[in-house]
This record gives sequence, C-alpha cells and structure tokens, in this order.
Amino acid sequence: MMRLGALIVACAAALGAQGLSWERILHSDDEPGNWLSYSGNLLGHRYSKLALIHKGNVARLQPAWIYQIGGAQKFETSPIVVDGTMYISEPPNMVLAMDTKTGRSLWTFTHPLPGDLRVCCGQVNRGVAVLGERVYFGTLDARLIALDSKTGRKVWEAVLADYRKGFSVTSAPLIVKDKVITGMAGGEYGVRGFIDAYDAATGKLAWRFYTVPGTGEPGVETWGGDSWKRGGGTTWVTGVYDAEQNLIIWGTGNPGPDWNGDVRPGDNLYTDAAVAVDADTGKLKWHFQFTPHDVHDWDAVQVPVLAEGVVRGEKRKLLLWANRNAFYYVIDRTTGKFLHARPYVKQTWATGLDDDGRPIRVPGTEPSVEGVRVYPDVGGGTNWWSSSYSPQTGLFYMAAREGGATYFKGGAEFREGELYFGGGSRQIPRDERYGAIRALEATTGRLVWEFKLARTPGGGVLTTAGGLAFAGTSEGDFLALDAATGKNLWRFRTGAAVNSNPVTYISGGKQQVAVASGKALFVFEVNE
Amino acid sequence: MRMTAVIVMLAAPAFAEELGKASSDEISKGKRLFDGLCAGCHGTEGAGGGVGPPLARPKLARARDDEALMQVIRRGIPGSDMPMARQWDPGEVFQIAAYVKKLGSIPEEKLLGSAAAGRDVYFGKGGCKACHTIQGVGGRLGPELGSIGAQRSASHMRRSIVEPEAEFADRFLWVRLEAGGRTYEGVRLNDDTFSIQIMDAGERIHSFWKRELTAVTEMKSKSPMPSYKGALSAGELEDLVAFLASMRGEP
Repeated sequence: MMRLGALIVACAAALGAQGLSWERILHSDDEPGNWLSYSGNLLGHRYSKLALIHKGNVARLQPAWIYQIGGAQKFETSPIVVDGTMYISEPPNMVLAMDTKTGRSLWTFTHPLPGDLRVCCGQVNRGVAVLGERVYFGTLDARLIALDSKTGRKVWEAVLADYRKGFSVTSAPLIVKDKVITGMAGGEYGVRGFIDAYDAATGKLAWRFYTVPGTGEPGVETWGGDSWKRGGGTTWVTGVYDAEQNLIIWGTGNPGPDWNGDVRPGDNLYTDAAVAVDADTGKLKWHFQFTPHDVHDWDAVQVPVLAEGVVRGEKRKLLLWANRNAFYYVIDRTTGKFLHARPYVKQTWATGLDDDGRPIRVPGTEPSVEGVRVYPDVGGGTNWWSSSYSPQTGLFYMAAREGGATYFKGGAEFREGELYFGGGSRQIPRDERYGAIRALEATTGRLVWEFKLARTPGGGVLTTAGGLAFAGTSEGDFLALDAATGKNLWRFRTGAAVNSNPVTYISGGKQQVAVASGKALFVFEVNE
Repeated sequence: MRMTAVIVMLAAPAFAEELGKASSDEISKGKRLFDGLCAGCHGTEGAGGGVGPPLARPKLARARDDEALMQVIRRGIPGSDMPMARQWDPGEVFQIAAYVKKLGSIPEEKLLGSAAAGRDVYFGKGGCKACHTIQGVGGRLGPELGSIGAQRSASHMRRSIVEPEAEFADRFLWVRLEAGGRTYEGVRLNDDTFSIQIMDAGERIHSFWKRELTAVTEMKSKSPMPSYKGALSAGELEDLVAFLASMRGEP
C-alpha cells in the first residue's frame, strides 16, 4: 500500500511538473537549442541564433540519420524539437516523436481517415505544435487532435467542420498562451474560410474568426449576392503572434471560384489578405488586402514576417511579406497601413500600386475562354513555403519562382463538396522558367543577391547566426549558402524534391539541421 | 439511412451516362474548352500537333473506354506531358470527353504510300535505324518509334522528316560543352543547377559538374536529326510516312 501510494505521488508530481510552457515558446529566441514553434519563433523569422555550424565548417556537414516514410504523398513537415525530442507529422495523418540523437521513433500515432476525403492538392500535413505535455495537429478530415507528448495517446479531438463539404486542415497549429490556433484548407471547394482558437486543455472552441464576412458584417458588400458563402479565404499556412499588440497575424487564401470572378463582383474581403485579430477574442483589428478580386489564385498564404526597421524616415514595427502575386510588401503592423512594395519576380498584371497599396491592374489580364498570358503563373512568385528574416544581416530570404501561365476562364457552377475552380491555367511553352534563392533588403525589397536554380523551387529557407542560409531545390539538392553573399558553401544530393521548410536545434551538444525531402527526413550535423 | 443515401447520391459522379449520348450543345461547349486547353498540344480537331498525340482516332491507347477517357482528362498521365486538368468541373470534363469521343468518328487521313516499301526506306536508304529503335532494333540517340503511328499524325511525321528543327521535344536538345580544353556534343539527357549529362553521337554518356565547364551552347534551333528534304523522293517520303504510321506498338 505504502509503495503504491508513493508511486501515485511520484506520478502526480511528474504530471504537474514539466512540459513546454507558454513562457518558453514566447521567449524561444533565448533557447536556440530547441525549435519550439512552426517558424522557430512567434515572429515568423525561421532564424536561429545557433552558430556551431558556420561558414568555416559547413563544408563538413554530413547526414547524422535519415528517417524514411512510405506512401505516395509529399512530405511537407516542419519539425518541432523540445529538449532532444522531435515531433513530426507524416502524410497523410500520422504523428511521430523521434529521438534526435539516434533517429529512432519513440511513439507513433495514426489518425484513421475516411475514404472520401476532399483535398484538392495532395494529402499533406506541414507539422504539429507542442504546449505543456500535449502535441497538437490538424487532420485532412478537418479535426484538431491533442496527443500526450510522452505516449502519443489521444487526449481530445475537436471537429472544425464537415470534411464532406470540402473542409480540411493541412497546416501546423500555432500556440498562443493557453490556446491552440488553427487555420483550415478547402479553398477550391467553395468553403468559407476561418481561423479557430481552441482551449488547449479541453479542446473547447474559444473563438472563430471568419475570413469572409457574412450578412450584416462590414465587408459583405464586397461580394455579389450570397457568393460570400462560398468565398474561400482559407487559412492553410500557419500565422504568427505579435505579443506587444496581442495580435495574431495570418494570411488568407484565394476567393472562390479561382479563375472566374463574375459570380463574386467586388474586392472579396478578406481574401488574399493579411488579417490581424485579437488573440483573446478573435476580433479583427486591421486587415490589408494584397490582391482585391483575385482571378489568378494568388493566395496570400505566406508566413507573415514581423520585424522592426526604418521606413519613410521613421523606426516602425513592420510586417514583411513576399506575396504570391509577385510583390514584396512592407506594412505597418500597428495599423495595417501600406508603406512600400516592389516586384521581386517578373510580373505583367499590375503597372504598380497606389498610395494605399492597391494594385493598378493592366487591362486584359483577366482569364478568358481563349486564354490570356500573365506573369507570374498560378504557383506565383512564391507559395506556401517559409521565407526567413535574419536580424544578423537584416535581409529577407525567399525561394522565388519565375515563369508565366496562360489563364483560362471556365464555368462557375457550384456543387457542394466538389471542386470549384471556374477555369484553369497552362504553362507557356518554351517560357524562360527558373527559380532562385533571393536575399532582399528587408525594408525595401531591393535584391541584394540571388542563387539561381534551373527549376522553380518548392521549399522554404532557414537562416542562422552562423552566417548561413539553408534551402532545398525541386531538383533534389539541399544547399547551404553564405547568407551575406549567396555563395554556395555546401550541398547534399537528397535525390528528390524538397517540399518543406528546414529547422535547426541542438542534439547531444551538436547543432543539427533537419529537412524533409522526397520520402525522407534528413538530419545533418558536422562530423569533427 | 435515407440521409446517408442522399449524401452518397450527391457525392457520386454526376455524369454516369455515356459520352455518346451527349447533346450537341454539350459537344460544342466541349469544343470551346478543347480549343483553349487541349488544341495547343493535340492540334485543332485533335489532328495532332506537337507534343500530344492525335485524338481523331476511333481507339485511343490511353483511353480504352468512356470512363478511362474522362479519367485521363481529370488526372492527366503521370510521367508524360499530359497534365492533370483538376481545375475543370465534372460537367466540363464530360463536355471535353464527349467532344474528343466525337473526334474519333473523323476519318483518318488516307495515306498514299506503301508501308512495305517504306520499311525498305527506313532500314535502307534512309538510315533511320542508326538513331531510332523499333522493336528493340536500332540506335539510341533519337526517340523510340515503335508506337509513333499512335502518337503522331501523318502530317506531323512528314514535316519532322523534311523539317526536323520545326518542332522537337526538349529532351532531344543538342548541346555543345567545353571542358578541359575539349569539346563535347550530344543530346541533353539531364540538366540541373549543378550538373549536366549528354549522349554523344557514338552513344557515349558524358557527365559534368557545371563548374567543370568553360562553355555551354544550346542548339535551340538545330535538331540532332538531319533534314531529308531532297534526300528522299516524294514517293519515298510517302512510303516512309505510311510505314511509320503503321507503327502502333503492336507486335
């Protein structure tokens, strides 16, 4: 009896003791040995203060271990690392805890999926979030699930929406205080987008912010008739948190249907926009719409990057954004006011932007039945993968796509649960298509250097205090570049396209860099 | 139960009926879509253009029945240049498929030449087998031709023989490389950010890191294949085309 009682006391102590606190996530820059949230910190930087791997030894970077997955889906996970344990998602909807020293999995959780999923573009998942002793992830059948971080056992499950209507979750959640914030996907199915906040302990919905306003709400007049009900504006890439203002800042996807705007006359708020909502209530504080009345499928689902810098002679709190529509934006994040923009890839759809940041469209660039050529293509100047901001260099790093498309307009008949595109697009034959890793001056978007790629890339960038920028290619290489000059210092042939964002952390005293490529997670360290 | 049944009905493909029963309105809508999206590769009225095979054929190798045809339009053909047209709604896929099926009733171009005589041109005077393989026999530098009759129209083949530089696939681009004071020429097999591989006229494969190269020249307007203009008589050309048109991948 005594012994059992002692055991119970010991267990209870363990339960209350540890886990990853919100304070640690908030101050993640103070412990670069871990990678505690999707973008490394809450500001969307994907930057690490670690410098154990640096320009002088990066040439000796070698695989420490490789984890192979099965299946036919793209592997887009961005790992979370807490005190030597890595948490990843594996497509379609598995979650694993791995030992970073050996690459052995500690537990595996598999979420069973129904056979009639509605996902337009692959059964993918971009990662998990951790708070306390819980691991959180979203599912392709539109659920948010909490697991015990020690065992992988399910603790609770919340249903966001009916997957049969086209709703799904592919993005990693964001932890803010005691809440789990999640976006959702389904923008090609005529869904209405939202951001949800759930109580981390219980899974109870705390608030929902609809990215498309409904009847009686300001902004609904930017839609014709009841088209807002199918307006899209999905939220399928993880947002960021501005602690000083207590604001969650998130990107929104394209309006639906993608290529036929006739059924939704108006600006279609708040699609293709940055929205800033109060973290406690979900109430909208401000918004900035990059592409009003989009007809080219240029989702603003990039990870917002929060920084400070001098613009127009004044030190300001900035929101930096390389948008899918080919423009790099600098926005005041206290008000959402536009400050500055310039194109970072070739574009032919706007002659420029007005003082409020509204694009001045080139006439005749809307999709037509016969087809119309526009740059950039439907994939955009960049897409969902992360950019990086290095406070060390003051530069903004991104993976750019160059190339145009012929856009076609098609029918826009809506059927619930079916694809709702309203047209299509095709690559231009013999087009000069290529990719590049680019470093832009953060406050102006001016090109500082580029490393050209033969093909358009599909993965994000990580920068470190070791003066390095890590990036993958769709040709199957993982690269380290000099963050100041773009010089290629190291590369590893993974053998398949990199469709993910790299992370870095410490394991057993060594700095490791991890990236998913093809059907494997590659983990590198320097062999002394 | 009834609720479930209703949902299943809504989720089922809305167009289970046969393509042959499509209305003239659906077929003409299909033509408009086809002209915009498909004709660039498959030619107007599916006569065959460049990259895509002619579709004005009663039987299509990759689409043996109506459902398979719609599947190819929806999903594309992985590993080929045929893309996934996921952006079209089911009604539009049906319309395009109905139009493509109707193209199958267009009579094929009558060929004037003799396939048997063309076989002699191919293996004899033409010297085609030096670079092309048919049924496992021949060279490796050019495309395999064992099913070229199903993939290309007669007019396309005729033009490719006399004017080969008019249109050829990127994977047969001829390049000249300089490395270590030597020059290498060949068909480009692969080209990425860091490396390039080519096959030279002797079918030797050369692989280089791009940093080893001092010059790269892409012969974008030059086909590796010589023109047969003037080299073959008009009759020989027609015989050769008839022979190639008979190559449909059947033993």
